[in-house]
Amino acid sequence: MNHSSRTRKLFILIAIGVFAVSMMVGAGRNTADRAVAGILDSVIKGGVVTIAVMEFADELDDGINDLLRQRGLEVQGMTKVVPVIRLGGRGGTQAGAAQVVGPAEQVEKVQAVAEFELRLGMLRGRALIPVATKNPLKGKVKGVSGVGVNASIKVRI
Amino acid sequence: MKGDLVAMSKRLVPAVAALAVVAVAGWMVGGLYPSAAGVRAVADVSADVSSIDKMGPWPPKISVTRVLDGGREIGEVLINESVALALSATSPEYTPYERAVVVAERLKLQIKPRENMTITTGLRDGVHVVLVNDAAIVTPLPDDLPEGITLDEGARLWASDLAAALEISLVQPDLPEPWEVDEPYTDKIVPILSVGKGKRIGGARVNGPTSRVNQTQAVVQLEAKMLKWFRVQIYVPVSTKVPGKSFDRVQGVAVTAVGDLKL
Repeated sequence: MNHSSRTRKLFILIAIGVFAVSMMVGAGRNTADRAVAGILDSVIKGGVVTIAVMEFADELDDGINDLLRQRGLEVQGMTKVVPVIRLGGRGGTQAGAAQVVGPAEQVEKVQAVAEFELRLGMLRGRALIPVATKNPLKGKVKGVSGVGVNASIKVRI
Repeated sequence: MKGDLVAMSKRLVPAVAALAVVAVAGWMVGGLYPSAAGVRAVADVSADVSSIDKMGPWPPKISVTRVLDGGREIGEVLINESVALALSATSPEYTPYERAVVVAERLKLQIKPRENMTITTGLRDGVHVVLVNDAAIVTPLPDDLPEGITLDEGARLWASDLAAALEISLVQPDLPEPWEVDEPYTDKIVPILSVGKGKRIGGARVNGPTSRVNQTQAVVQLEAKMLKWFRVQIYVPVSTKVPGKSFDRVQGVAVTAVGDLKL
């Protein structure tokens, strides 16, 4: 698939997501409806964002590495773009993607990044743990040693 | 002078608070991040067939059965009536039983005199496969394997099971060198220096070999827009607290937590 057709596909995907979310939020008339709409909003947006990011994972990986190379900041080791799964709080929301970096055999094991968030007023702390499963909601979360996050990727909607 | 001190203290308070938040977040997940030594326990899947005194019949009888386990279909490949492989994942084209039938047919085509047969693992089109006489026989899928077993480890386990069932020595594949850790890994909280749109102040928890982490003085955060739709924040561990036009990246160190406050 060439770049322009994939961009069109991404545009359509985002448009569908935004339309579905706006329909649900608009339909909410009472507090309960709005609460459900809010949860669905985050789930749908998260899904759309993750599909969009993973569709362009290779381009984003190359793009980030090229940008760093141009500035003389290239990374030694293997890099890879994986989805970010947010744990705690609302639980299980997919929240974009991340580029992980580390020794090749360790990076190959990484399937996702588990994100824990802690908010204290205006301050926000995010822990980012590369994990060897695509579903860190199941069972014990165990990180992959030697691998860290090089970049955080979000879709502008 | 007094005014400068007041201004400095106003900037210092949120910075210290942000570092405290990331420190708490880092401490909360510290137990989830394994020590480097934990990854050395790679399963030894070499098949020990030296203890087999009595060889089974040859050519072996290869058959397939469908088993239902709590309503879940499992396709089993049997060699001389013993289960050699159990496939429980559905591929885009086949059910577990249909996959087992395909595997059995491929295996039958590769049966030769025992001494001429080889079993190993390898990569074909980027996926981990079990190879019999250099022909791809089966590809483990995530749902075939217990939680925590990678596809590479799964292929090696299946190759080992198949070698044991056929009573053939397993040929160890040419694997990359195991990840050897030269020195202990450690963590450190350092300030984040933001470059690009939007001023932010905060801290990052970095992880890596102790000597490299000791070199790290800050994390520079770069922001970039890519492919029209994506906003990318890149974290670069650097060895100076006051970077100039260029940064000195510390290799081998990466970010595991961030905390920030928008000003």
